[in-house]
Amino acid sequence: MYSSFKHTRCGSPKIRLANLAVLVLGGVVLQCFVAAAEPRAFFEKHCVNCHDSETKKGGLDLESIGSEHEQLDRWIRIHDVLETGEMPPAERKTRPSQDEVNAILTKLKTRLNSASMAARPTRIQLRRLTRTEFENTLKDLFALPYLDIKGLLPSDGRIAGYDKIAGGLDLSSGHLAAYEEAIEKALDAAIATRSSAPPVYRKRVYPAGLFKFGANLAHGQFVLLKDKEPDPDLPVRGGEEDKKGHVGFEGPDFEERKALVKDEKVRQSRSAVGLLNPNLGGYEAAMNVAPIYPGMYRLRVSVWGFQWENARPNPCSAPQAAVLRAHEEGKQQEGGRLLSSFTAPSLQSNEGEIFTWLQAHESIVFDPVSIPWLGLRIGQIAGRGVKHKGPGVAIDWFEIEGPIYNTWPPDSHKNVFGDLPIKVLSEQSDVVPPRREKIRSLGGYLPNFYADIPPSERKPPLETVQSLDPVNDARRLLGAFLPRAFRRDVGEDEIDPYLDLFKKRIAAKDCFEDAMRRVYVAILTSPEFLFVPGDATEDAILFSNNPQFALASRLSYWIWNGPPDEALLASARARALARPGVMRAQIDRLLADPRSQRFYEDFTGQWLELNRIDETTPDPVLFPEYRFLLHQGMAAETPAFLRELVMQDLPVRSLLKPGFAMLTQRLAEHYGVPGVEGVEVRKVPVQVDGLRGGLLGHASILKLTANGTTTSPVKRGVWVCDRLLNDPAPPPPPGISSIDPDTRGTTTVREQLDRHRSNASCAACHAKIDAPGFALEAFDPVGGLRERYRSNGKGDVPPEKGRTAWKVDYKLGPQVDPSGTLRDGRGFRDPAEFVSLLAADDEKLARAFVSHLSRYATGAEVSFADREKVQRIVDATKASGYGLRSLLHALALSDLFRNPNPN
Amino acid sequence: MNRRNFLLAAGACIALPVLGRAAEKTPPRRLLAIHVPLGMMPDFFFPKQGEQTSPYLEILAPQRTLFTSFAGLSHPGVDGNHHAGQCFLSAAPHPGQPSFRNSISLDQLVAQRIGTETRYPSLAVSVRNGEHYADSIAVSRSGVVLPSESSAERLYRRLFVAGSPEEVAAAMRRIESGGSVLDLILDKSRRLAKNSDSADRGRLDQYFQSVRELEVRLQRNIEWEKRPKPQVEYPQPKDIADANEVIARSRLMFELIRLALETDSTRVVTLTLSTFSVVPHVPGVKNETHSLTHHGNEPEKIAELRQIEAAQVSVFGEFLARMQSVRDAAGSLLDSTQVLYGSCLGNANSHSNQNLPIILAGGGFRHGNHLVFDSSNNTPLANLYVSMLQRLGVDEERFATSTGPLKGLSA
Repeated sequence: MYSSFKHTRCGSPKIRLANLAVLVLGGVVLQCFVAAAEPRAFFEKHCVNCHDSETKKGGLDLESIGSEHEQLDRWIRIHDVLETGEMPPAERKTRPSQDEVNAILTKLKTRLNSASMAARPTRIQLRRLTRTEFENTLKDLFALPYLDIKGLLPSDGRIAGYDKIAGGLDLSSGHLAAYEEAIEKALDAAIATRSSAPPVYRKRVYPAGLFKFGANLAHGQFVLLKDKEPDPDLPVRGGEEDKKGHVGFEGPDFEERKALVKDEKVRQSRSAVGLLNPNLGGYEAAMNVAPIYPGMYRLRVSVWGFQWENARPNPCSAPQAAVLRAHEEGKQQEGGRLLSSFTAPSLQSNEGEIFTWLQAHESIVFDPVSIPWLGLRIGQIAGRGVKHKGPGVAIDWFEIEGPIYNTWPPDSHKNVFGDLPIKVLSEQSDVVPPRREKIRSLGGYLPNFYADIPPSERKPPLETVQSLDPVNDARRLLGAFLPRAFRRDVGEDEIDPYLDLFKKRIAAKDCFEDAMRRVYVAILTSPEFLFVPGDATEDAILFSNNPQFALASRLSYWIWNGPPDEALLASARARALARPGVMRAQIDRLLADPRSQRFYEDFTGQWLELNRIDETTPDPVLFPEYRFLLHQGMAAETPAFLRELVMQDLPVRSLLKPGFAMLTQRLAEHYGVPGVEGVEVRKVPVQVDGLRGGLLGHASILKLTANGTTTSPVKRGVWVCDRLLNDPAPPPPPGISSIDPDTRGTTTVREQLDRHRSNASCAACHAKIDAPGFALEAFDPVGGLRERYRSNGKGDVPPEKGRTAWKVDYKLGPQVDPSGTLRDGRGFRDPAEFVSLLAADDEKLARAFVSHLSRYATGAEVSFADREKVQRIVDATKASGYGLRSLLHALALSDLFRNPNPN
Repeated sequence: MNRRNFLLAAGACIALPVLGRAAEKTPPRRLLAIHVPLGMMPDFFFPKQGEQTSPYLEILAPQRTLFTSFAGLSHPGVDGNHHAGQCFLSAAPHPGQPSFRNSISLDQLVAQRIGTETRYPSLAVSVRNGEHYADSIAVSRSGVVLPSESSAERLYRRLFVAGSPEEVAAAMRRIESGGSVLDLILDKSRRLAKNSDSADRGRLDQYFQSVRELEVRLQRNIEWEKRPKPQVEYPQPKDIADANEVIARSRLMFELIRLALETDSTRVVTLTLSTFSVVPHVPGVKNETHSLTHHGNEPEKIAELRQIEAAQVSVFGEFLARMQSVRDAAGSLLDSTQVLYGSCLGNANSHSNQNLPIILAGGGFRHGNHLVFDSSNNTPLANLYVSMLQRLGVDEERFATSTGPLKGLSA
């Protein structure tokens, strides 16, 4: 691919440094950088000793290296190690003076800049939508905020951790087939199939009479509570113990309770039910509610927490928590889909309400997630509820109402069919009727809700959109839909092919609805929809004569991870968007919109690799504290943190030392921050010099850089260098043996690594990688602070045993040593000192942040030539201390984000 | 332009087998490649120096004459620990690196050559819980990892369930209306990219190629839709909902693959048996598999992981026995089917991609041995693929990083 750049080739056969300086080939003078006289002298003197074709240290052979055009990455690496002083190694007796190095660097920089530009003449290239963007685009186009189709689409390739880079976004016929399936599913959800809204189902459920609650009440896992005291209608009993102190699910007390639970008094009771056990296969707290119709539902639940002791609920020191989940039909035993979390305050009912999408036949399950699992159901523990001590969550009642529509037909339908009437399809009609899902009752073991459908609803007439003037109606609908789908103005002639398709389908006896469906599938698999134009995209089909439409898409796919709205398109239409003031105002408007949450989640997912947080499951014996609420808190902290930094335009140093933390109650407990109650994430002041709040104290990041059981300084160090400092370490040379992790409590990873580092060829890179990793050894794989490694084998009994809500079965092994030395010789004793050293160089942090952000925002890698542009962006925001929102603005206004000379 | 006219104009060749053709003289040759993303612990897979067997190979003792096991094979340059899985059949180097591009996988190359006569040129199948690395090992010519089918129920329907006449009519109608949509976007794609810059053009070209492929597939579907699907006695299965039933799920997929091969619905299959994010229902197992592979040399974890891996090997053994028991023109179905079983992870605890555990069964090779290559300077696994290709009748001297056919393996 370089053949079009005539002057660039160093040529082959490879040039031996010693014998050839200039090669003339085909009349063109070809030169290697090393072949020129001055650099040659430098490299011969300082580098070739180790990097000749015999020694080839680190795999680098300067005697047969190709030109900067052939081996650009290699030359950039050479530039970088010279610039940072990593090479020549400090141990060498004769090192070049800084002036010598600078002279070489200046020359090298010029060469690499032009090579880098030649390798990628167009920075931002045409790219297809990622699958997340595809889903979000359909969500916004149809007004279906809860559409879930991502799982139908093939996953996207990642380059440097980002799924937005043009080169990683391939397309195959498999993609097209998957798009079609996903579009059909979206259309199913969007199109109204009846002339009036489905009947609203309203119900308040009291737990005592529910099937699963009854079983648990009988077994003793749950207790009946009236006015925050045990309900005498179903007294708590202890049960008879066997020799081991266990009780079975049998015995006189069980028989008694079984009878009471079946009694109408309990079945009709409006008392609360207290849950002493967390949900566990087959013992979940199912609400026996599942909607017949998909749609938006209002769910309300009244919950409170308590400490169970002396066979009654007592105040608990901190609120408990519960969640509601929706389980797919027939999969009630599986994980389910989280709907929302609720705070359960001590002995005080909290009425929580959510407004959410439910699929048809999803059943609702309650889960008291703050209760730890201790290995045995309360009903099997000696003394059952009489002797048991532990936290509990009570539910007073649960309410469901829906589906709720503020307008009928819903907006999603109007986006597709406008105001055309929905009527019964005449029996005389000769068109092929549209496909309809049957309205049916719920499957599975849960009670039948068929009875809740009015008889008239059970076999609804076949209704569909009707048009008296199909071709003109279709033209009108297309005129409204196409510009939104293509994210630009659309000419009359562009409508014609779609209208022809419509006519063809009508001629083939499709009904109006189906004929339009085919047209929508065609639109949404057209290149105009699937691709976002690049800087040099000239194609008339993809690109209108107004390049600002492409700019609008670029902006919205960055900050909303979705399509532009009408206001943004209008700004592009007026050719105003490129004006700095307008651009700034649009960015602020986009950031203020709830859709910006997609950016915070997706960008932290890719930049900080948060999307890998569930790749490993911590060992439940070593890390028993890691349960749902902790995971939820840590996963929410990082996106919320970035949002706060951007919204407040806080200086880039705050990435590491913000002086506040975004915490839920459980995460605050994990961090040892007092006074945070409830499941919501909120901003909590913490010490600026403390360990928490900044990214390197986020449990999410400490977890994803560990492997579940152990931590690796190498993995964490590589993460810090790559993600935080944008200074990735090269991969280990081939044939290097990896460390075989060991958690038997006899050796520490640091001791193993020291052996590894004693090898000189490893030491050079590890000097850079290991320091951050050593500092972060102070944190365990779930982000907890530690002084000693936990062990499954040898070790001492930890002092916390018996004092935690969870079971402590691990031991304490060797001492952690979080001290280290940076490559430049500065030492640190612990992570706090390390973070301070890192935060001091805020300009470097800003450069790294902009580099990562630009990959996400522009879908292009940061080339060598881009470095100057990054620096200019950083320089422009110095006054704000490199404020994060300022950096966002400066990036959008820079020529990294848009070609300064658009066609 | 009319779709059919366009296809003629574009010179698209739709070769469908002649209906009702007499039994073929030479039995078809087939390929099944199985990838186990989390690998197998080397101590239990590889026989110790001077020995011929190992704990895992011992499980396969009844089938020992039906396969060859290998030590000292790997893909040169294929690193990046879990990222390597997608290169199991492609051998494309450095999957973890930013500049990585995948290349065509063994199965897809084979499908292009020998997959044209069956309803499905190839099938990519997986047993998995959610999405992880390497959910599929099939990679298209343009380097795209092809999605895999993970539902046994859907796979069965695709293979064997004929619709009612109304359903067939509806399906034909869907194909037909899908055809009119394709007409439109194909026409559009042909007008694209006349003057785009080179990077854009490449991408738009991919689009054009994709639409055309879909078009060809659609034509095939029309023909195949008219032909009855094979009848099997195996009843329609239900998906096993519990992802922790990974062994039962694997057994079910093996059965369906055996049926697909036996009925000649396809001749090329890839299967990924992922144990990511599951706590397999295997006696003695309490922990999630991926976490167990990071066992840190703790004996309890190694013991648990060994139970899982042994169960996987054992269900593979059952499959080999079953394949051997099915008669076909070559002798047994196994004799006509090459079955590759292995992993791109040599040692999950240290995330190494060297010294891969590999088994090749069936396909008419002479089996029963354990072939050992250099453990510090591995032989390219692609050499084995060249031997496999040649035996499949695909005349290739090399594949990806191969340096020639694998020494020591003979037909």
